Amino acid sequence: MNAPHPNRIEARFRVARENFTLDVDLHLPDRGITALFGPSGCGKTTLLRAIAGLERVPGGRLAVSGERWQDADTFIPPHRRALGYVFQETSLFPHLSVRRNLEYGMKRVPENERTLHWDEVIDWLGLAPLIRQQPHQLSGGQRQRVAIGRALLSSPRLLLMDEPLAALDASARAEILPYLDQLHQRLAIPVLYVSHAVEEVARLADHLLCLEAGRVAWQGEAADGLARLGAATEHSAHVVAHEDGWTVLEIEGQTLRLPCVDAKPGDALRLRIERSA
Amino acid sequence: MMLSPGDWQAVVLTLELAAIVTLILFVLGTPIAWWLARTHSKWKAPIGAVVALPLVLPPSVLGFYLLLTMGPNGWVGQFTNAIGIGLLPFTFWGLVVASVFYSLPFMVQPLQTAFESLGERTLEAAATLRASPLDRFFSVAAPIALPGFMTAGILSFAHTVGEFGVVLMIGGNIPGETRVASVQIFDHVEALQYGEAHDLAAVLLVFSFLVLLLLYTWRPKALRL
Repeated sequence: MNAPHPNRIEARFRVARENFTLDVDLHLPDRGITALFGPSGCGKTTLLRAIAGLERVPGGRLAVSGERWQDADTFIPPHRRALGYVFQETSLFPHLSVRRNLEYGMKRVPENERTLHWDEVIDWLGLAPLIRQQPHQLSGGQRQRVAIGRALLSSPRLLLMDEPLAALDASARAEILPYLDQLHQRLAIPVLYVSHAVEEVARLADHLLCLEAGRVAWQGEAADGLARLGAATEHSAHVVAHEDGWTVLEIEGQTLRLPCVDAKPGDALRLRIERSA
Repeated sequence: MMLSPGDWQAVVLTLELAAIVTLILFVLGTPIAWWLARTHSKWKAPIGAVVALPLVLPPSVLGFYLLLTMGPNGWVGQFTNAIGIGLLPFTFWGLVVASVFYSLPFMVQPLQTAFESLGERTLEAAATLRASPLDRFFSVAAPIALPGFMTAGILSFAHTVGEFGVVLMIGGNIPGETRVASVQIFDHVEALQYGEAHDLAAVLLVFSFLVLLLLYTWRPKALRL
């Protein structure tokens, strides 16, 4: 077996579920934010849970930055993987204050292995005013910020975020997005960010992976992928011929048939493709 | 109201029995409740039913089987004989064993309910924060389930104090050894000592009421999120 690539996240998982089969073989860059994008039920969360080890997928393989987390004869349990996980719903410990929540993961990592320090994390996420409170006193957005801070303070080498904004209302999302921007600029570790919101992906992602029905439909640079996802794209085409009520177009080397278009063979057309809401 | 030295002895013995049984049940009942709350095994229903049996079984039935098992021809009896501690029936430790069985559902069921309401998310979050399974239990599950532990402890203690049938079957009536308060009252009534029976009965009545009052008024503030 080949040694895992030192600067990549390599994941191969196959999970059969009632409504879909997740079947992926991924090679992701181990820096920047990679958005896992796709409709609900396409396997994004399952993939993230498999990477975290919360879901045990027999036969799966996973190596992160050269370190093997799972293969045929290895399964490192979640608590021994240097990862941070931010759940969609609140996951703060209700019996601990915000400070103790933040310290929970940090205290379980030996001091000489800590890569992110208290002051910087508190500062990035604006947590200072919240530290003395109890979780139930916080708003939804504040809780998610604490949850992100708690994950970072455990000095992860990989941060997994499962739709961290999906359970928040629009104003809480607006409040938290600038902090995520900050993280994006300062954080040296790779982030896998599950989302089905184009706006979040557009704002945060460097790299994009589109999942459809458990398979990778597209992956690449976010800037290239965004054209596919959100904004309309335009393509130049020209009419080749009319056949049986169909118009045959040539578009970037490919052939496309459309119901009869009012144009003569050889005419140039512009095709605008827009994603429907 | 004056309790005789014999009555006091019975009361002290009862409290000793209940305290020891409750401690043993915490150790024994917690893993059973944890397993029942989290397993998807096909054995969940049968084991749950066995744990709940003492709720519906007449104490004499339970006592009868325990008497046979712990007696000279039972496998427990042969084992205890073989390791040199003799037979358990009609001893204080026999009562302890019987009471542990008899009060088991009162420990397991409140704990199971508390563990079931914990939610997978909280424990998974702890796992991703480097907490081992045992660490997760002590740092997250147990503190959140604390009200369940309180309820389970109080109910087990009180239920053991209120035991009568099993004690009579397995313990008999040996002063200072197996004669607990409920049996002492029975003796007083049998001997037509209604005055003494009244005094001791009143003590148990007040005690039981206070325990339940404690349970119903003072509850640890439920954790919310």
